[in-house]
Amino acid sequence: MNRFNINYINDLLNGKLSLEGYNHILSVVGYYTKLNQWSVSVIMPEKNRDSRWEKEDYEELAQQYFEWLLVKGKLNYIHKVPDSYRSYYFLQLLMSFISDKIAEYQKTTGVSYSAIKRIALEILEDRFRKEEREEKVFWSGGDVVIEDAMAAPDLDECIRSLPRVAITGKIKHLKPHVKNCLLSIFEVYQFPIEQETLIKSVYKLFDQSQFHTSEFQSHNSNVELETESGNNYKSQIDSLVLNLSAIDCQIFLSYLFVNDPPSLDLLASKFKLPKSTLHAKITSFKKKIAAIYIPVNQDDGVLFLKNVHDALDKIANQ
Amino acid sequence: MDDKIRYIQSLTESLKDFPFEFEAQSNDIYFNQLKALADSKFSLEANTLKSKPTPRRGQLWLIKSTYEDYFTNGVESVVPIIVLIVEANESLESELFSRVQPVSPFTEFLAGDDYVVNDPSLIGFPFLIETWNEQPVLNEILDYSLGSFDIDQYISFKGNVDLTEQKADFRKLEVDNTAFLRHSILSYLKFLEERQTEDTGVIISINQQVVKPAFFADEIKYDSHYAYAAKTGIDNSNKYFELEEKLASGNIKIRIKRNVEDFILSVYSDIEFVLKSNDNKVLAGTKAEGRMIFAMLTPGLYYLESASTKSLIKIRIK
Repeated sequence: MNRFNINYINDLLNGKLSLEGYNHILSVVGYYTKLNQWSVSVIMPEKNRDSRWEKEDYEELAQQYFEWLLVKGKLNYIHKVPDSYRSYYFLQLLMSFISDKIAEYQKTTGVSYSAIKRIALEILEDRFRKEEREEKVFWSGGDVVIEDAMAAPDLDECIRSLPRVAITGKIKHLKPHVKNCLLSIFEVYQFPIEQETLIKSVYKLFDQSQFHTSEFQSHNSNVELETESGNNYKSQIDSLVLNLSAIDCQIFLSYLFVNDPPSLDLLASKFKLPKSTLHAKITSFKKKIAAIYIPVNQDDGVLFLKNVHDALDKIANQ
Repeated sequence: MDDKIRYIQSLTESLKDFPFEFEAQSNDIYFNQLKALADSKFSLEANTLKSKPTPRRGQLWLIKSTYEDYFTNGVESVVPIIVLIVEANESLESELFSRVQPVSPFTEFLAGDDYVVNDPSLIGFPFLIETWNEQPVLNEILDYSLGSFDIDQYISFKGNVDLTEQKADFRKLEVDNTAFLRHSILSYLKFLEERQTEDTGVIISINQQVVKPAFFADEIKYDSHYAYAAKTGIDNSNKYFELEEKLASGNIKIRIKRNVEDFILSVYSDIEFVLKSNDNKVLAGTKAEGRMIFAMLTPGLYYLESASTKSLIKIRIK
């Protein structure tokens, strides 16, 4: 078991973290990242699920983890946690933090194919019939299995009418849903199914359509839209830029109002800010825009954003 | 298995070789940000005295991270454990034990009729009392008390919560991870079953082996079948336990004789040994006819140490 050295953790909490301690904390975080195969996109949503972890991604993870500890008040009574328990306590919290991040990530991006595959294989091994033919694995279920491959209908056609599982924030555990999908598939298709084809079919039964909508799209379709004709959006924009600094405005202008936005890495080094802070600022501003104004149509939206741009530009150059 | 359970399980896995070498520089943005994050916000002065009062119901105790079981094997816990005492100071042939329920910071796994203590000021974090994981432990593995609480007063009843598959997996994991606790008493029970006579047992760990010395009565050696029926210290015959072994630098013969209330240990060897008690105190012996005699020993664990040969012999007497 790889543990945090409690002396370094105590140094961190005392504001006396050394470089050696920092490197140690990163190595423990890196160890569990690798051991549990966490996806980098959980921490850096702009990255691809399968992207490689870079050094600064680990730094970002450590940064976000300690910010989470503070925000959640997990350290308020840290002096009460027994010395010999403290190191393990921090590891337990790392697992809670990551689980939270993954749940949050799944709510916005749906479920991954690899997650479905892992769960499906677990269930298949547990309760379905396995057979190997010509170096391929086939699975079958139910009491009746028809072996005549020539008679097999098109699988996609058969499962087309099966109900889809809508992935919502309320779904916390996938296993029961994957199990139901497998049972439904074998109920309508009584032939052995090649493993990869089967898992792809299960994946197709998960309806991820809600995750492909634009972030700017309103979640509340029943909102009655207010017509803004003749209005220069003053009240909304005043509220949007309230308390923004010149630097904040420069960040938003450099990232949100250009055709080809730079990477967060570049922006972070330009503004000398950690990527997590930058990411938080941009996300929160985007959410604020979406909450503050719902455009009537495309032209209205473009006009509103142009007004936002002008307001930001004004503050940025003050 | 659910992802979160898998991550928690990874905390108890043996160390794998993942090379993580981080060499951050002092001008690293993340390093400086993290250092500033917790800057002196926390007092780390522990206000829990490491006191060892008489165990009582309602106390929370930290369990020792390692102990030597009744067969002198060193046992190490994979994780630090805090327990709530639910019944204290039961006695089994004069060995004290208590019934305990482990506590866990993973309150999100609350299920069934579990109890949760939400007040983080008791031990630094809210915790779940694992009522389903109650087990006996020898009092000697209780390390120190985290304070006496009227625990009933702090329990937040959550009503009846469904035991999901994830929560059932968590329970299984916790039961496995706390085997360390019950091993203390299981090892004791096994010792009682297997001891050489009906009322006395001696175990010696020597040359990396755990050996039961032979039982003698009036110079006649008895095998275990007969020995089991024999009582020591009741009639007038000369009864003792004896072991002869070769060490790297000479031979040793250890003889343990039981008096009515205590034991006499004789060490026959050319090598100089000191005898230490379980709490590391050196015990005085007397020299006589080529042997060292240590009298008035109470039941317990003893260490014979030789500075010249660096050999350590552990002796459990009960």
